[in-house]
Amino acid sequence: MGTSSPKRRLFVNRAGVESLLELPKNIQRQALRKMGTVEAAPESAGYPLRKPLQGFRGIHSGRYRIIWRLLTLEEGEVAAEVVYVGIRSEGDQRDAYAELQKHFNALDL
Amino acid sequence: MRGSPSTRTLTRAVLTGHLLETVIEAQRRGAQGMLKLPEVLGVAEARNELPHVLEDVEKGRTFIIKGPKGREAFVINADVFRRLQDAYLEVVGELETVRILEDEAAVRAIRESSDEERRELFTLSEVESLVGEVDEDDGDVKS
Repeated sequence: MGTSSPKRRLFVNRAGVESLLELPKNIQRQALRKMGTVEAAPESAGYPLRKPLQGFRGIHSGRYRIIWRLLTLEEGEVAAEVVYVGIRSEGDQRDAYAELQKHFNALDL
Repeated sequence: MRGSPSTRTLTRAVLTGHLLETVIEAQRRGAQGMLKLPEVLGVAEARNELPHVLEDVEKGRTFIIKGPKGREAFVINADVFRRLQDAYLEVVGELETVRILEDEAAVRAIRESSDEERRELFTLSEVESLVGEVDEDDGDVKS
């Protein structure tokens, strides 16, 4: 009616919803909480992906990752469109951050 | 636990590239803010020299203040830190891109996202209610 709905800065597309619902319930809840972080800053949260996934961003926490791209809404505001939520594969147990830290150490920084 | 040799090579090559860019960019700015090897100071020394330490930090120098029992502080210019952090996130993005491309389910979902018929969008509260519905099933994961 007369009240304007709050600005939404995060949407999940069908593929994103389907991937989320395939996960264990506790991970689903964790991922929803993480999406709150993405919604707060869709343009700067997480890390930018590179070619051929340029335009997408990712964030991970523990054993799962969320991938989204930016949407420009009619009002010019930017929102996140989540396209995938998934558990990182077994081979990914070596965390990217830990691996990088090793390389930073190797370079004597 | 270590990455495959090819992953390690890629990481190092990318990392070296980004660091090189950081250094070149700093040099282009006239060496101000350039990352230099940290100087190690003791706590008392750092306390006595604090005004000079801060002056040098402003110019882009970094320091490690070494206390007892492994207590150490790394003092770095905030601007240099932000640029280092940006370069770091870019490298993480590079590594994660490689891993996502190896994840068939993720690639399929990304590909499907460009299909207009699959572009139906749900708000976060709608998704939360869907997850809630799964909760009521008490254990079954909806497919």
